[in-house]
Amino acid sequence: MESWNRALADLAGDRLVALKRQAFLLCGDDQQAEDLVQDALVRAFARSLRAPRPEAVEAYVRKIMMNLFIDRARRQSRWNRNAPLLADREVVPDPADEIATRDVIRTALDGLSPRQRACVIMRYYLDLPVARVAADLGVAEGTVKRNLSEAMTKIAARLSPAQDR
Amino acid sequence: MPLTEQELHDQLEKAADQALPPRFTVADLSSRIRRRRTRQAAALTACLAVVAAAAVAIPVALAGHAPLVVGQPGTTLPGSAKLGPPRAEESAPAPRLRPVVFTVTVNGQRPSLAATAQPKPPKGCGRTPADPCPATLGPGFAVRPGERLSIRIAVTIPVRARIAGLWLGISDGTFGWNDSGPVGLQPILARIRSGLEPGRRTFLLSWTVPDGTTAGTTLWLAASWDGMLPVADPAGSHQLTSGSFSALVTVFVRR
Repeated sequence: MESWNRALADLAGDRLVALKRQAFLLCGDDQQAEDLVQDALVRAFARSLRAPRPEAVEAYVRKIMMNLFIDRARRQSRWNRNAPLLADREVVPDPADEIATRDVIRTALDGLSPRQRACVIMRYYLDLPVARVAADLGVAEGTVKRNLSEAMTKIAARLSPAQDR
Repeated sequence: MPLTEQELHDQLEKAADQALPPRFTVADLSSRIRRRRTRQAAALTACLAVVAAAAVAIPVALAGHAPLVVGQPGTTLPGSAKLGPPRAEESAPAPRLRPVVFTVTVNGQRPSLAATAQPKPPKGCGRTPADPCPATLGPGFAVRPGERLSIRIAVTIPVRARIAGLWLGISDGTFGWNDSGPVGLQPILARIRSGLEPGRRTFLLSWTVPDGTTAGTTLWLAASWDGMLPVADPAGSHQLTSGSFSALVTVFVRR
């Protein structure tokens, strides 16, 4: 068995569910999370010249996953800017349905920018230090701190009315 | 009430619990990864092939523009007797010397000498830079002592060349040059010091191989000249050539 195949089998046996949970928090949608995890794993193990070290496989895949998510969200935002020009005005989703099907924290996460969302999940869900978050996302620590601060403000604002209710 | 980090962590954990277990299998993922690795390997191989082709093609292309050494002092080989019309590579646009072309016939025949009959290089050659050994003996004639040779040498001087002097004679392999002219031509069969215009000249000469010449001796029918040769660049500039020695054909003395 090839080394990458063995590393993939080890990762899939232990940590695949954890990666899927992280992806779900990032995307907020199970199908998108499924795609995100698969794409990140393919990217990580398809690089024959830059195969990840066995002890760092999970961190490597997670880093790819975060960056893939941010890239996709950026592309999606470009599409969203143009989408209203194409959408049928009559087909507008009912906000009540969305609220009913999602819990409060997921709604709060949806209000964040992709980078803020990635920072929040890495810092507060994975409990990674700020320096590590900055390194994985390829930004300065100050940027991470600013994103976290803004994200916390937004989340608190979203959660407070809900909790008050 | 401000949101604490621990509260946020707990709420994120609860939200993550809503994720369904992965539906894809490791086998699916492996086949996808394998396909992608195969594509990448093919692309890498193609890139390496392109780089290798460029690494070969570029030096070859550059080598095609190297200056031609024909006509430079001490570098002309005996094979220069076969020089005919300018070859395609000599008409390339890079700066190149257009050589003085010599065409030799002896007793009405073009020089020919079987490879197995090639004589040895002259004794003593190669001891000094002014006395190089010919790289190859080239085409020639097998002659006998006392034999009379009727030699016809056609000299083609390229356009814009300025030939101040021309010497034709027999050399025993001692090639050289001094202020009064060439050294090593003995005897000199023709000497032109009036200067030669571009064009074709024909010289009819005769020489009798000395009776005392021992079998196995190698001699050369040689030409020496000085002047300037044109450089085949668009500006048509000239390159000064103080003197040049060309061994035209090999004369191999046999029994």
